[in-house]
Amino acid sequence: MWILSLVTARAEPPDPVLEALSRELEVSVEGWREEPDPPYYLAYRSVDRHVWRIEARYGALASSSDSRVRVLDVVARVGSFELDSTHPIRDASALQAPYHMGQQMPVSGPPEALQSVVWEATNKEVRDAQELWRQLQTVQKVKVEEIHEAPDFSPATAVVDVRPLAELEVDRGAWEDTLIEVSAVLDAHPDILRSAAELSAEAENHYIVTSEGTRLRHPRTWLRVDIHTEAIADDGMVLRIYRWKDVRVAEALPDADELTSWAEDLVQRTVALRVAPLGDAYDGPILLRGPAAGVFMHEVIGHRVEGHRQKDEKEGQTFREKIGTQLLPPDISIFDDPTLDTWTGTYLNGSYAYDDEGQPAQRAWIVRDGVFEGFLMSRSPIDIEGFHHSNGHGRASSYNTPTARMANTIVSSSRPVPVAELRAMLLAEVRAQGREYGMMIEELAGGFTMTGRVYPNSFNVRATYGWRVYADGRPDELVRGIDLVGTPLVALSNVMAAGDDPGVFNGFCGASSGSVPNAAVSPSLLIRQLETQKKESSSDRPPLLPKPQGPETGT
Amino acid sequence: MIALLAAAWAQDPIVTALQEELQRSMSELVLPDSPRPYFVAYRMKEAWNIEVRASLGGVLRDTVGPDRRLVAEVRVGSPEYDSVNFRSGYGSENGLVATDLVIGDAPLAVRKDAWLGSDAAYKEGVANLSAKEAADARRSEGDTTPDYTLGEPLEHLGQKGAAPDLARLRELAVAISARFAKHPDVELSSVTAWASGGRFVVIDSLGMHVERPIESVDLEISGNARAADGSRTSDLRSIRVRTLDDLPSLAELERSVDDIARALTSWQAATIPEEPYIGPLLVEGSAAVDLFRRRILTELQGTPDPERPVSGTRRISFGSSGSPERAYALKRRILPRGWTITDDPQSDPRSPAWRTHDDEGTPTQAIELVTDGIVRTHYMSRTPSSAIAQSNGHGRSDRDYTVRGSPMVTELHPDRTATRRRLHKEALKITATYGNDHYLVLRRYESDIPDLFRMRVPGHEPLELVRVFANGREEHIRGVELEGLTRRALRDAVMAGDSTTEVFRSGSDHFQITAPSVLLDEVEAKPRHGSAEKPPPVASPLAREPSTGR
Repeated sequence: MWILSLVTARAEPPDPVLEALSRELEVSVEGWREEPDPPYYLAYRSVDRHVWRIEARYGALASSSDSRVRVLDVVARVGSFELDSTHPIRDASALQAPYHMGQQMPVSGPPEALQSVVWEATNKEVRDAQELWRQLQTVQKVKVEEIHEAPDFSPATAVVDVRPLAELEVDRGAWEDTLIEVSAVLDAHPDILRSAAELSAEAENHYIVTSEGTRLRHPRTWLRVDIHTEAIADDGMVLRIYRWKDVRVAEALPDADELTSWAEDLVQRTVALRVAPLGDAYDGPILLRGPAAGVFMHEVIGHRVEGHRQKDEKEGQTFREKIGTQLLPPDISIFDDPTLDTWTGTYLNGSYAYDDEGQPAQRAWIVRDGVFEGFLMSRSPIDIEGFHHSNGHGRASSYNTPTARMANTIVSSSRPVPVAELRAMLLAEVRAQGREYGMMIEELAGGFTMTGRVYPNSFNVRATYGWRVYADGRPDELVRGIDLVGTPLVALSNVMAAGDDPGVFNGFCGASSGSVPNAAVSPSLLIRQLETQKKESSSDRPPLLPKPQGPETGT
Repeated sequence: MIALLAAAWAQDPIVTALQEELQRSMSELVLPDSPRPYFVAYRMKEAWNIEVRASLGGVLRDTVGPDRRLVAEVRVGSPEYDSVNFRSGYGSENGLVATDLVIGDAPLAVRKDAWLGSDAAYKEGVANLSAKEAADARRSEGDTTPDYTLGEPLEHLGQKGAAPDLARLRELAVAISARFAKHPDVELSSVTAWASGGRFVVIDSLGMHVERPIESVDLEISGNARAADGSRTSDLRSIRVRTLDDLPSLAELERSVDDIARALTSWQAATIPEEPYIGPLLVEGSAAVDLFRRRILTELQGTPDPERPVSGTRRISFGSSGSPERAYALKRRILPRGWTITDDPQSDPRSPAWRTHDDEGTPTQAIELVTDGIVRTHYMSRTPSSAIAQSNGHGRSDRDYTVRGSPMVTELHPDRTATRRRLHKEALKITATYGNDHYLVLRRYESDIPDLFRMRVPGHEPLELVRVFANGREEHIRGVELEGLTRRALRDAVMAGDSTTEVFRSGSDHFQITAPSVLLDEVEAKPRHGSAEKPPPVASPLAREPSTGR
């Protein structure tokens, strides 16, 4: 149904984007050199994105779009590697800073059409950088010395690598038909208010050209099929459940039969959840099943080891002084590796060859054998030995400036415990703590964490499907309306064991440098003590009239 | 033929499904101890939409696809006192809910979308009515103007606009945009084209079923230039017609590009006055249309704003807290004696502003808003004002889905028009009394669309402002601010000249205004000291010398 291919590079014709960016960079570097305070570093980052999206609901096509867009981001740095115009101006309001914005470039046309956009964007970014640099020089004199002094930018070796273009060809009609069929299955139950079956497919070509000599073009393809349902409980709580799969090639997508089976399962789960009792505030043992455990680690430790946060005085810096400290049981390790394309046969969403600063992707260890080992680094160095250079984690969505971000965060255990045994351990811990039940969380819809100093340094992981597991042998009881909450160091210190069932959560992570694709991988984790809190709820009554039912009217 | 067409529409399964859901909402929606709806209407736009944006012969983006969007309007209370005409805070949760409908030919799925939209609209309506009653209980004096006027059962099934041709529109936009390559002084440029073809459907609980075509093509050609002192300006020319076949030839459209380039080049070379000017101003062409649109026509919109709580009783309340009725009072003089303002939405079938029925399904009417310079009526929707109780078929949907009385095809007519020579002589005569050797002519404002690349929204500044001397010599000036272009100045206009027609786009709707050039006896033009950015050291790609690339 889908043909998604990486076209092999055989006598590749000149790439008009790469040529336009290179030509304009050369002219700009030369032209601005004669001005006072010229940029010492200039980079162009462009993403050419071809996107297909199809949505079906209630057994009908809701939308089907095909769009192509090419976006440019310009990075201009004035000053030097040690201190430059990107250095934060302490205590300044964010509203005072010039606003960085990307530009849309033509997806076709003559070189001047592309170059005009690059020229205009360069003028803005260089002028903004010059203004910030001049302001910074004065501000540095009136403020006390910074606690953590580190250069603003690290030198890097130029990379030249032009890879084959990603292209997308879609059998739109066949997928529309499949999604229409699946959406009818989702809508079949009267308690399902809203539902949809969607397909997104993207072929991206990333370009980076820098004044250091880097010339890159590298492809990325991504397809996601996603189904979701929404029901409303009698108390007004809206319940949404999702199921999706991210892949790199069309052949790996589930077929119509598999999707139908997913849809039937999702409907049953939604209907069950609608009448499930409300969960309550709880503290005690919790078993997080695979993908849920991955998201938990993403929120608890992942964001806190992003390198740039270690020199930002507004950040909590939970792990800054923890190198060499035992944080987790000795069998558990965590690393982030964008070079991995799959994990136990499942595609990983955070894979790439080069990061958004043009640095080759690398594995970065965070925790090895339970001991905290290090940070994820962009080209923003920190004043900790071993972290003066990028480890290939500088990432950003279009219109944002790259910072250190997670890609594929993998939690693994050298002594995996079979899941059945993990459940037995949960019950043993529940009894040892004298509790009526423990909790088992199967699915999450994501989460968020606050890493700064002003607000509580805490996390919230948004559970969608969780069970009470009773100590006295009663059947497990499904509950709704809970989130997992806590603080990072306490939560990590309570990790008891890991399972033998690595699960992958593919998603998109939003933070200061925008939304980037990533994956969180983990086996199930047994936590001795963790808290749940009640989820916020809406107060609307369910619809007053029953859902219109077939047969089709008016035909 | 007409009967056959009507029969085909009557069997339209999508409309039938919507009618069924509307009737079910009207008869069965009820919350415990709450009023039922007294009126339900659905407004559906169903169209193929195209947007193409091109620059210098390259496509920036293009989108094409069908779209079906419904606004469910559920009114609770009574026409005298209802739930829609009240806003307590920033939001507009008043019983008007917009919903995307599925695009497939699937009536049951359409009903499901409409079902959820109606349910939400009804609940909003009940909540808003109770908020209104609570707020009014605190008010010392109530508003006795009714909130709504019910219409009559009506069926009108107009033709459907044809789906536009993306390839043709893309080719045209690219070709026009490529013309800018001949004008290196224009730094940035773009051509944006929109086209829509489909139908607008209104059905309501009183038996209305009105359909009118959606059919429009818009081309906006814009360019941006920088003067030697770093100041920037932009010009935009728009061509708005009903179908692709109505567009001028490519050669004519390319002339618009050349006109923009000429206007920008004249602006770049213009003198910046050192002294202020006080004296007459002749406002011509598109500047005159723009001036009347901004100063006069907005004040003839008779639909009152939604009522608000008593001032100071809500911490967050945006918008006016004064009288909701802001239109000129009837019988007030707003233009010189002998001037009239008319609006006839059915007068120009070639215009995209043409329509037989308004957005509430009311048949459009030819109206005379101003007679002999005095306000006689307002643009009205079905929401009455204290002065006018009935709609005159000028209801147009606003961004918050409220339907307000609005211009459709408006013409301003002076009782007599002067020749250019006569206007010139009169302007010279007036300016002499101020001790000047010239007068000013304003021909164009700079464009007020967001700048393509910088999101800069230029002010409403003159783009083409000219000193005219006794011998007819013209000298362009720039960098001035005009003061005195007030409503009062238009009322006291000295003389009028030839008329210009412009079509405007508001959301996906259009309106058309024809206005004469006008001689005002006194304005002030003050030099403005701007904060322009230094020009960049690198010339734009179009302006570089081939040998050096600089």
